[in-house]
Amino acid sequence: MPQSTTEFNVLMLGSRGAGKTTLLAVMWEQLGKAISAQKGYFKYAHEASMYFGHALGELRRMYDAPGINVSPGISGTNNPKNLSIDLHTANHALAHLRLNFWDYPGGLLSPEQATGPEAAVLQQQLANAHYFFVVVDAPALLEHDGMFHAIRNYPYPIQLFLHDRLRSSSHGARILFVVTKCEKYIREGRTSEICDAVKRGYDNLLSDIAGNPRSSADICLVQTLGTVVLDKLEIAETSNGDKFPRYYFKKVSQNAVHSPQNTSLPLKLMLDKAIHESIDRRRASYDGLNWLRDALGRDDELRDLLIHMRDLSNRASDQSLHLSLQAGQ
Amino acid sequence: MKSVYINTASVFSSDYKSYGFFKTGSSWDSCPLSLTQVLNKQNPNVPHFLGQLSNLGERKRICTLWISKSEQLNKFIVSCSLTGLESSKRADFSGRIIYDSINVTYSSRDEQDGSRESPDDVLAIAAKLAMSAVDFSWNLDDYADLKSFEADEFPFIDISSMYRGIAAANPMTEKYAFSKPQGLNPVHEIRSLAKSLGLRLIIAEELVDEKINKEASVSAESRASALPKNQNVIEEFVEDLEGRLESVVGERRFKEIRCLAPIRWLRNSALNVFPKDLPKPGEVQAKKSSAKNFESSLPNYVDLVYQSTTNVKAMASLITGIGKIVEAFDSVTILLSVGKNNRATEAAQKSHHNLPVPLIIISFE
Repeated sequence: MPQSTTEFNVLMLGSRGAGKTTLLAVMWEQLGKAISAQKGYFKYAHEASMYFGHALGELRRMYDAPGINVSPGISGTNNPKNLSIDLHTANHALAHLRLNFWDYPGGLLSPEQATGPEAAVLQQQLANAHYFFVVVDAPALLEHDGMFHAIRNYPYPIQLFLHDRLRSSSHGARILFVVTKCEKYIREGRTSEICDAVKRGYDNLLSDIAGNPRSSADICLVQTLGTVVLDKLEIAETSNGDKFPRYYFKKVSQNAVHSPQNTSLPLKLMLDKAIHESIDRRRASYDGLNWLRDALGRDDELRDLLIHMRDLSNRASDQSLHLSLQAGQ
Repeated sequence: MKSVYINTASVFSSDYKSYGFFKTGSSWDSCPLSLTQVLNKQNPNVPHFLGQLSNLGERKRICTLWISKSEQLNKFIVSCSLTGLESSKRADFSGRIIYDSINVTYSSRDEQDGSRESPDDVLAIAAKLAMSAVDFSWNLDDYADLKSFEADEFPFIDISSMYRGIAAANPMTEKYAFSKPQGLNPVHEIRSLAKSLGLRLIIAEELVDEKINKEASVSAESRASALPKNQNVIEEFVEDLEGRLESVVGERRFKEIRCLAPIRWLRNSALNVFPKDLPKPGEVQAKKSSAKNFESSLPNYVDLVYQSTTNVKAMASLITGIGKIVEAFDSVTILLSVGKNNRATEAAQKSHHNLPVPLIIISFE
């Protein structure tokens, strides 16, 4: 039985409109539905349940719109979100694990918002995060030879954000590149092209990761909508002559329904680390007496849950859409 | 002091953020302060529910109206926010609808502002915003310059026109008659006015005064014995307020609201204060009563939750009624929350325990 709850912090990094909110809402919904109640369950803090409920409602509404042209995703906000989800195992009131998702407005990655109280909080959370999601906008990476990758995915600000952490922290950093809006490319069989583009587009960051053996890097391709694909990406221009992309999406058919694919894979990867971390921390506080813990089966429930979630994810996910670049120690 | 804050996004570049303006003479200039800083500056005693007003990043359609009249500060403050205004003309680079939020704030006195402007236009805007919380057809598109938006710039280029336009859109026929700042001093005039509007609101206020005055001589036991009486006073207070609102809103409309969904009187939170704050039997002698403890046990706020979604005319009448209620008090804070949100009221209740003024929270869900 857990004597305390292990906090595990996940920082989401990604630009405005990259799909952070949609990703969070969809992956929790998918995993929450699949997990066996006998093995464990997630308990959402009030704010998290309201937030996810609203986001999923918006996605459903999008499919209800007539015709095939859609505006996917949930409109952004300037409110940073701290969403907490507790992981319980059956018969135990106290949570084993509290997952804190720090979902920041994409605008905080832009240079004009690099100062101020929110930026300061972001810096602090950068130091305290146990896991990082770098949400990658696939069309910016691939369309027009990736000409919008720099202004949409912020690879250089993200690399600089993480640089000190990767270079100086003894813990390193566990980074998961989650590629969103890639329904079109997966349907066209271009998965290896996406992975190559991620490696190219974030080469500086990957080089920093490679410099710290405690760090890990994975790439995951997710389809948060499944049945909405990029129709075209036009180049628009501001009055100053700056170019920016304008996206157009369409449903694969008028009767298309929300069919997310592979969304539990990022969660599985993250929960693997989180559960291991929780078990390690518990065992560290019983140093020398862990034989007794093992004899009493204190960690069995968590281990069973981990195996269960791995199994679920393996069955629900296409493993070809996951690439491990560096395992981390 | 008058200010306008707008939270919005342009077509592509920076994310949602708030743009602030304050009135200087007849023009509107950019304000370097955040809305939270402006509100805290006007009344630093009520920070908790100011968070609700300044949360312009909220995407749900919620109107929060804060009216605070303080003899101590010799100040009359009105601040109103409406969030979650869905644009029908502007979409961002990925086709997502743009949501706007707006706040208008008036303060009768500001150290850096010698002018004494009338609050009438801010109140008219507040009324329009409160009504628009249940009128989903209204948004800020009429005041947005689409060319600026498409050029990735801030679209509300003429704040002055927007301010005048929203104020003029107020459909209310009855003019507000809020006291001028100087009018806060002659307390007996306000009491007379309150008498003409109804006595029991004053009873509730006097209950506060009376209990504060007697605080030192009142034992915990006598407070405990007075509990049923206090509850009766609250009941009377609430019934009177109900009557007052009914007379303002009109019986037929009021019943219509009831018919849509029965009125829930959320007095529990107020009443629960008594048992929670009263000393336990063993603590009675040992615990030295303090003004703070005493204040926190006072029934000085009432939370009324009406459930209605579409009755715009009733809302207009209610806003007028709130104006009259404000008139009836020497010092009063009113928080009106329209929309599906209870956190504003919760925060207000928490923050209000240390305030020696009546607080009336009226929430529409």
